Amino acid sequence: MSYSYTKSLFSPEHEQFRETVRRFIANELEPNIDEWLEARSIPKSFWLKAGSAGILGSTIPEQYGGPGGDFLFRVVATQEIGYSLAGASMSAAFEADQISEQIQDHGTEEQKKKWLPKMLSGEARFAFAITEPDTGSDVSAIRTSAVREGNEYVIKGSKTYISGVSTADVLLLACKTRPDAGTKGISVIMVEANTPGVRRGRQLKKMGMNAADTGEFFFDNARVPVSNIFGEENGGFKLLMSGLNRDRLMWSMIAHAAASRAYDDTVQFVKNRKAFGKTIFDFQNTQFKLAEMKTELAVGSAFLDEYLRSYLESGAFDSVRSSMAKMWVTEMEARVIDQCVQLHGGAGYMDEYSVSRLYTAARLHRIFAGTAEIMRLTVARSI
Amino acid sequence: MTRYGYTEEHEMFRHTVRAFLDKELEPHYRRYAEKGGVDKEFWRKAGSAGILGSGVPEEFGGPGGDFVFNVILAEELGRSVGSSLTGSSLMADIATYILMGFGTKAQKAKYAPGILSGEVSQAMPLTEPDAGSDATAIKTTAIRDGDHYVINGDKFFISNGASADVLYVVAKTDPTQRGRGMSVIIVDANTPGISRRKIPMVGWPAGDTGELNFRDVRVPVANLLGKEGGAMQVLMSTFLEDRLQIAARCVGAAETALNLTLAYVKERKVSNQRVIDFQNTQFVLAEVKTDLEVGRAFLDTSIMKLRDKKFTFEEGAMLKLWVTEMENRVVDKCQQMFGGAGQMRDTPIAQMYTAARIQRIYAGTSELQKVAIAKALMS
Repeated sequence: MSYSYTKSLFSPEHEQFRETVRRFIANELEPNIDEWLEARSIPKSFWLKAGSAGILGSTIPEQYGGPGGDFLFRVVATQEIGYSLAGASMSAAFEADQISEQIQDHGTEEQKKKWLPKMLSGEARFAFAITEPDTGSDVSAIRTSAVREGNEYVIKGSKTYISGVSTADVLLLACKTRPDAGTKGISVIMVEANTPGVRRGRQLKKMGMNAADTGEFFFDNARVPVSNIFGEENGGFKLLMSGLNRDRLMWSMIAHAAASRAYDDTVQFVKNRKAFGKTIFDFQNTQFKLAEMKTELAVGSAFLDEYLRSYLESGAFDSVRSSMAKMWVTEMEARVIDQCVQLHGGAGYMDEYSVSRLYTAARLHRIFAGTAEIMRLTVARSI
Repeated sequence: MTRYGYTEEHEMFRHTVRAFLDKELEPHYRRYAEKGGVDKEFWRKAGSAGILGSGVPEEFGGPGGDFVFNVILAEELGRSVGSSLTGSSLMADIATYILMGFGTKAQKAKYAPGILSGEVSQAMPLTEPDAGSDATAIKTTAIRDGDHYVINGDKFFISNGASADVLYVVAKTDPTQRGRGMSVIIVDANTPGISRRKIPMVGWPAGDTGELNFRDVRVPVANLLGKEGGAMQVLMSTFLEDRLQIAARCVGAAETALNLTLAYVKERKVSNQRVIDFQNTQFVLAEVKTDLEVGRAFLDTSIMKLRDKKFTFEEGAMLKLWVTEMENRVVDKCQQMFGGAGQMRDTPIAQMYTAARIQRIYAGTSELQKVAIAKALMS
């Protein structure tokens, strides 16, 4: 698999970390994923192991106990989880690691000191809680409210499709601190899941990504200290958008890696499978389809490479390029994985073949962290 | 978006090319279309502007530039609406790299000044009525007779073929062999025995896609370019460069198509709304813009790889395949947004649509590119 089209962005340290992550996934994740699929969640013990192995929080600075790695360390970890089969069942849980970067960007010193070490060790699992039953793309319409009462916020409302319904320890909750101000009335507040008034809903059954525990949270006059505000009061929308640009790039990388995995497994499959006296690979249609897919993967690689290169130079993510990346790469992923399932024939429909899980996981990539339609809206505005 | 892969010198050259084309091509292409070709004056002006013969070394009076200069020329040509009428005649500069790569000192010295000044235009007759994708199936022969080669055969679909001054003819010096029997021979177009005409093509009204017939054409043995039997080596030597410049042309053209469309949909009204106010228009424009940026990134990273000498044949095939198909998608979607106006024969978008179609066919069909990519999977 080609991780970097120009092969010059990653240093030997990055590649060493890649090996560490890969080995960890092979030893601790892949052998257990079927069990965790049945349970529909991943045990805390796994995250603690990941923490000890140094897989989590690679960009957390040394002053908070972290390895102080640059962004490319997280890129390699992300690529590895994207390429793994287990990733098709739980990559969203892994991607929660980006919250440690959000905390570095926007947290108070106290918040950083309190939470970064625990995110590093795996002790504290975080989740963003934005989506509500009646609100997805139109974030300005969220209704969960946080009313100031003395030194506390009183929170009322509900959230849905939250990764970590059973396992998240802390939520970064998007709520309205000014109900009639649209996007200018949104605040993000840290809410520990064991706060009285916070209720975990049931786990929802999904088409795929079933080792990720997804569900609803209910807030019934939950009280949190005012100091739990994350970023500025009423500045939550901007904060959320800024994180999204990075998040969308990471999802593009996961999508690209997953498509590469489907492609690699398919090349193996067709070279072994026989029909009408030849291998599936011997048919011209197979060769042409593989050639098209290989090309699309190379194109995606080049686009992501260029974006990374630009980020390394400027230190900034940009919403247009992130939107283009997420839109294009996830749609490429869908085309590639769909074709891979087809080339597997009946086997492609079976859970025991990687492409089957990669297919259901891929379907979500065009929807969450910004739908394909929102991506088009963002890009259109820039033209 | 910042573009990687280009030096400051490259960017200065881009400005020069852009200025030249905006002055000498864009205002005149309709006249060239009526004439059926560009003036000789156009070539001479291009020579004076210093945009021809980038690959000619200083030893022969040239700027001694790398191939990226030619890629830039191709991209700016693609960006010009005029090139959708003139076709690839202006990119016969690939032939210069072949001459400089394999020519003797005498051959280079003979043609370099004319290439640089625009006095000498080039073509490379390879394809024949019965030999397209399978180059080794050509039947034109060049049989040794004393200290001459005698050339007999017919060439078809040759870019710049009907008007070029110098021809690099690919012929069988040993008709009993396939690839190893092919040689490249330099032939001055005014050598007796050559007849030629322009083939009327669907696009390129100011272009030159030529048919050439060789009947007992005698050329000195000294006109052999490279080794006898070495044609495949010569052809493969600019395989990557040819694909890069086509991809560059497509990126330039796709961007122009988008810009033309944006201007149109902002003006045109349907039921009291501008076409751009419809959500579908915005979404399609977003897709087009993304498709184009992705293709441009692919081109630029390919250039970085070429400069690092790490660009493979397989990657060249992927580049040509994908970017030509991108341009076609983009131009098709753009033309749709023009409605009926996009179907009028002389409008830029209609011209670009017909010019785009051949990109998926010449310099190796999309099918051939897939064969090349699949071949790499066979180990």
